[in-house]
Amino acid sequence: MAAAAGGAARGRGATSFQRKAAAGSRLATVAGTRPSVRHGQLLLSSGLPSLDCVLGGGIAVGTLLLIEEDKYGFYSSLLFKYFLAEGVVCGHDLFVASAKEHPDSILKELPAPLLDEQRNELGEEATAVKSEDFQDSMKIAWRYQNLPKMEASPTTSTKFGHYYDLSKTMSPELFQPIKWHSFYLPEELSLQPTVKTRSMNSAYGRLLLSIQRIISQEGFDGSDPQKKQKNILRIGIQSLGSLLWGDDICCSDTPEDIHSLTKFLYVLRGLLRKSLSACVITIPAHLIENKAIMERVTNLSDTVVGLESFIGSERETNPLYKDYHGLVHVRRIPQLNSLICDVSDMKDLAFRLKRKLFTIERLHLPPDLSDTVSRTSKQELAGSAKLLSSGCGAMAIGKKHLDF
Amino acid sequence: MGEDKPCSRMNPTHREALELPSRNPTADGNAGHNPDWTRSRGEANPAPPAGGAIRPRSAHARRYNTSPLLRSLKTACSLRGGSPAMFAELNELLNASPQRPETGWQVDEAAAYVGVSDMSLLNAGDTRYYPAKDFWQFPTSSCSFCSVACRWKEPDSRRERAGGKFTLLRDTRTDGSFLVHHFLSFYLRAGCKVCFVALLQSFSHYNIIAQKLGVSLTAAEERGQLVFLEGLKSCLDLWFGEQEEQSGKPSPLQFISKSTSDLKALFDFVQVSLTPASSDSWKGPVLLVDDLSVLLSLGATPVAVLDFIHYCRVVVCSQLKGNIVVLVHSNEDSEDEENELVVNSLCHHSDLILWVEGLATGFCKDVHGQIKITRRVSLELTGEQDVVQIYQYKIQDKNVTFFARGLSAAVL
Repeated sequence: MAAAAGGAARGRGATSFQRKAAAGSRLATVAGTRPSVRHGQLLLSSGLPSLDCVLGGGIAVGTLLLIEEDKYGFYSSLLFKYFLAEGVVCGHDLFVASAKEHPDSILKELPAPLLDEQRNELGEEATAVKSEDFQDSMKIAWRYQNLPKMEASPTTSTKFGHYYDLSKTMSPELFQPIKWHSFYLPEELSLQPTVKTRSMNSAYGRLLLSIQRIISQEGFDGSDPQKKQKNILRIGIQSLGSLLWGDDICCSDTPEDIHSLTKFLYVLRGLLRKSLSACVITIPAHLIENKAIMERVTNLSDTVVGLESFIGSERETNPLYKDYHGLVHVRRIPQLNSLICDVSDMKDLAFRLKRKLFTIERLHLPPDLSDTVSRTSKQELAGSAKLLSSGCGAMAIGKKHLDF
Repeated sequence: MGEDKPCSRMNPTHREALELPSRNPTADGNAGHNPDWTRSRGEANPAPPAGGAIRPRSAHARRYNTSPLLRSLKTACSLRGGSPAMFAELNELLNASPQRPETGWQVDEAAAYVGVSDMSLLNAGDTRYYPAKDFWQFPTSSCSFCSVACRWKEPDSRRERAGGKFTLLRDTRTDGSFLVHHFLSFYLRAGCKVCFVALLQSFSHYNIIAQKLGVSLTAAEERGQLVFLEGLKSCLDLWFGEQEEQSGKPSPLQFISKSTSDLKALFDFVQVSLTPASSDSWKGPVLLVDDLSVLLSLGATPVAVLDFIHYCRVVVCSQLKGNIVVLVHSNEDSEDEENELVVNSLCHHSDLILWVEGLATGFCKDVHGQIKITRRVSLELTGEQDVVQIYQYKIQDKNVTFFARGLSAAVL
């Protein structure tokens, strides 16, 4: 224990993979985590097993996951709630920070976890839909037999990563044993009107002080060797960088202090690296006009995932995307303790929100069932037919439609 | 140096295609083919220099002939039978070996135009000359940390001084930190005193990777060979620890919290750690900076960053005859103008540029990117062009393999 405490104070050494068997069993006692074979860090589930696949197994302890919000913030807040709900189910401590809504109301709206019998029911629905490709051995497309499958449907039972039902909220009994801390900016501003923060936006400074206080008081940085049972702190910060935090990077091209957010992320990175915690931050990247800031923020974060929803854009009615609600861009994957990072082969990802489930899948184009060979839409065909009939032969040839 | 210039060497695949005999006939007379020169291991030159141990050639090496491009591994791989480690192929490409880390590129200091800190002053014609010996005392004028344009004063006629080398590592669309790990283990193996300013990751991250490459950072720190500045930790101490500030020495990263945006404290730290004490027996000093772009994110102005590098070059490269290796991020269509300014300026002043880029065509499992090695021979002002070599690489768990473009495992 003393060695682990000393190691944790030193850096990430205590929780990294150690070859001794005794230390290995100590690692496994932290609930809700599993060690990664790639880089020896502990992994947490993000609440969404398909996102865990994309991130290479999960969120590593001590790292930061940055989610670039979609246009109306709807889907990113779903991911945020998944992360916190996973913390509740695994028994981790929570720290929720927001300037927009009170953390109490965020925590009241967490989705309910799927229990076993409900999961089977959902699994039957899902398999009924895609029964044609769920075969033990493929007879015709046998070359596709060995393609990796993404875990989108809850057919397999996993102890790491749970499925949640978005139509129900989590019952308060699940919540009772959980220790959680909150930071609601208007409340903090009224409690302590003046706090000395140096050369940083005062809201960010207060948030850092609050996080550091919780980490050191609750012993997440290994400073309290008496604690037998180690636990993880899940930190969730909503809409960082927005105007409500007192930062004007989202509303002006030449903000007053462009370094506040990056300094905050740097100090937060230091805090995360030396404690047993993981952090998810959602940031309204589409509002930040100065793209240099987003590049620096991306470089300072470990994992960056961007969500692009189709609400309100022309892609909503595009038949190619009719099955999905948005795209997922993985901008950065962490490189921890090794020369290589765990880059997955799947680069085109999309998400969809079914009635109860939110999944991230590989983007599949729907099959082209029209009777023309090319993918021209019906309007183009009608247009060229009109031109042919009116005698402008030269213009009709310019169109792609060739019909001999 | 008495060796062939790289540009006059023919690409080994072309040489095979034209069926020319290879440059270095092996000791046992096997001529010709080298179908996969990435796997061949160099054999000692027919006349090895005295004192270099020759590794006995394995059966594998005998089958595949030496490539004319590969330098002999007489020094790099014959390290007391230890693990090959630290990217032996990169050592060959850079013509470097741990036994002679201090052979810098011969830079004509008098002609090197260094450190334009304030372009407006230059345009106004107000360039102040600082004589060489006074340069490393900080001027006590109001703008204390070198905010004026300065140029090396040429004391005598053009003479070549063997100074240290300034190597710039830049990456675009990919992560070039594997080069930092390479240089770290390379210089530690060579017995140099290393000051590592690690701003982005924690100590254990570097330690774990260095152990894979055969070097222990904790042991190096204990015997005084490595001075490690862990940026994350010292930033935390600075931010949250109020008591230590008054008592101990000032934090090297104090520019984050103070309003002054110069990096003088960081420079003082580097100078103190690399100035050799009387009991030191290390070979030349080396400064390694992991990610200069982070300094810009933390509030330093680009001018301050360039000044810091300028002062470090003066002290480390010229005064102490050491080397500097710096990693920066860049992007061609980046909107971060401050970063691009720093990167372009450093490119003009560096002796060796290793530019790591992700492939323009996208992600590939077998080729992780391409590396462009530029030796700034033009700085010597002998009328030659810079030598540019382009290779592709693939990163593995403990090693990085380099190969010519188009010869990756995906294609062959």
